[in-house]
Amino acid sequence: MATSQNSVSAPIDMHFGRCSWFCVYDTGTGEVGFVENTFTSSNDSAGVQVVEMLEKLGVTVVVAGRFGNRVVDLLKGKGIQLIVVSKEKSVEDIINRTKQSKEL
Amino acid sequence: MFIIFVEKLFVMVRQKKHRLIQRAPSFGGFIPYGMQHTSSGEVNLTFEEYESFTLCDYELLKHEEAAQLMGVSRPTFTRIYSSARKKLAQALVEVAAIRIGGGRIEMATSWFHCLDCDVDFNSDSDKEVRCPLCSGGRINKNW
Repeated sequence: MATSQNSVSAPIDMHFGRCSWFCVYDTGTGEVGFVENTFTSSNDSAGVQVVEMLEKLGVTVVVAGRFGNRVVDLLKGKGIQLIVVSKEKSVEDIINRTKQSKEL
Repeated sequence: MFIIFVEKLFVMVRQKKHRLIQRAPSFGGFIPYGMQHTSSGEVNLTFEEYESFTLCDYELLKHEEAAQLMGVSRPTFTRIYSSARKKLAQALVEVAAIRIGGGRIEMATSWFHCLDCDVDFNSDSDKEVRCPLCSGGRINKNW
């Protein structure tokens, strides 16, 4: 999940690739971790580099407010699920939604 | 002689290729702010023009990469893009509203909307689509 701060109450960042942090949530164990985005300052293809980094972490679903077109293409090719959040939502909201559905 | 001419005309009419876009904009357009008089008109920006502008000036892609993503040749892309810029400039200078819509497009990605979570997500299959967050089935297809 793309976020602007390393906290679960932080809102989902509106732009994947240019966000400061990524929140990594393990749906199996419920573990939450944060990874800093070190590519924010690169001139172009920040998103592409981010995808490579996240792929190494074994991410299967990504959440952000907006994805670049190249990133959409790339993630689709890798079979990674994209989720676009339109209104302001925090990392917590997203985690709670997945938790709720597991309990049901 | 005349018949030959007519035939030629038919051959020349060619169906335009559909341009691929990743996501349709979620709004209809723009209107000028703080105007003293009524609007001087409206500019219609097609979806492919909006997409070309996004790719070039927001995502800073090269024309060649952008053309590939939209499934058109580089010269065609450049033509769409210059038309987009021309229209945007006209709207800004002539204080015209911008309406986004129309054009010959095809979605490169199918997007769905979960009514319970209020999020959009992509899916390749049209059958039995479930929300990746809540695994619910209350889903709308965004064209």
